[in-house]
Amino acid sequence: MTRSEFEQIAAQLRQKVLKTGLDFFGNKEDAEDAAQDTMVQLWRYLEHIDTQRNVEALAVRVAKNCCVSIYRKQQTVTPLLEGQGEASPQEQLEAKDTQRMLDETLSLLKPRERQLFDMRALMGLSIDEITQQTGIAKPSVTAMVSAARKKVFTELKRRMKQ
Amino acid sequence: MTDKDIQRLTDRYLAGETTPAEERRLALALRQRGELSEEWQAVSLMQGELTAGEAEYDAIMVKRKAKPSAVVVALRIMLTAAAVYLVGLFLWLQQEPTEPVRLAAKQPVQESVVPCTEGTPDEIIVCYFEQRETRPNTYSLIRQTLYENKQ
Repeated sequence: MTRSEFEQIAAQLRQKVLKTGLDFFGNKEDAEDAAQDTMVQLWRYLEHIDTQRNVEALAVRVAKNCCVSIYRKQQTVTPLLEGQGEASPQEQLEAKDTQRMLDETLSLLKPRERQLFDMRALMGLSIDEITQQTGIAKPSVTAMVSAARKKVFTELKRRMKQ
Repeated sequence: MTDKDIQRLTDRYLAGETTPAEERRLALALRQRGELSEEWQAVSLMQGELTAGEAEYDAIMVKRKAKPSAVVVALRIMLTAAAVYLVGLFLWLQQEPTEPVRLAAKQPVQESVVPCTEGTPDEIIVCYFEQRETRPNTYSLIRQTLYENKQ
């Protein structure tokens, strides 16, 4: 998705994610914060977002994650020292390595497999919704999703053992 | 969720048979577990942060809906207390005095009470409280009147 494409739907998306935040927090301040965080996250990963796919579904999922993140921060007692409570440099490094391993594994999938894998994992779409959006028969979608998952699963296990 | 449930969902997940709701439940169960086997670690990684976060969002919302707010709890307590008080008052008024005749005889003749309806609001309130002070046994009198009316 390009920047101009995102800007065209940004206002509409913002309303959607704001509603998600309002449902969760019940107050406008926190909901606005969550909406702001969500839009920033979406903007950052703009180039990975496929225009053809359900961007609203993705935005709502990201919004829910932002709500939980803000909620967790609110629940945590303020750390005594600055930086305490955040992930340590080693943990951050491990998280980066894990993400890289997953990205490399996913890059092994065929384009169609990757598309269906993402539609389930990233967009959170059901098999029926994928069938509607892609026009692929339901049994075929299930079979392809299963094949993609098993491929990723086997490769991840192999890499973890190394 | 038991290990057996997690394994069953994991197998269905790999077979592409799970619904998004089941996947969120699986993601949350894996996140809440401390140590994970390699297989479950791989599944958790595949599901990604978004699914786990969404599952946590849903779990928090469900918990909130199940738990009434402090205002609702306070209102419920007040309504219950008021209901108990009214029922108690009703039952008390229904009781017959143990010595009705003697009590009635002992009771001095009541002076006619002028209703507090005239004057400014302040004057009406002062008049009302003055009358209440001069007649502290209002409920006893009501009860006795009711009993005498029955006779």
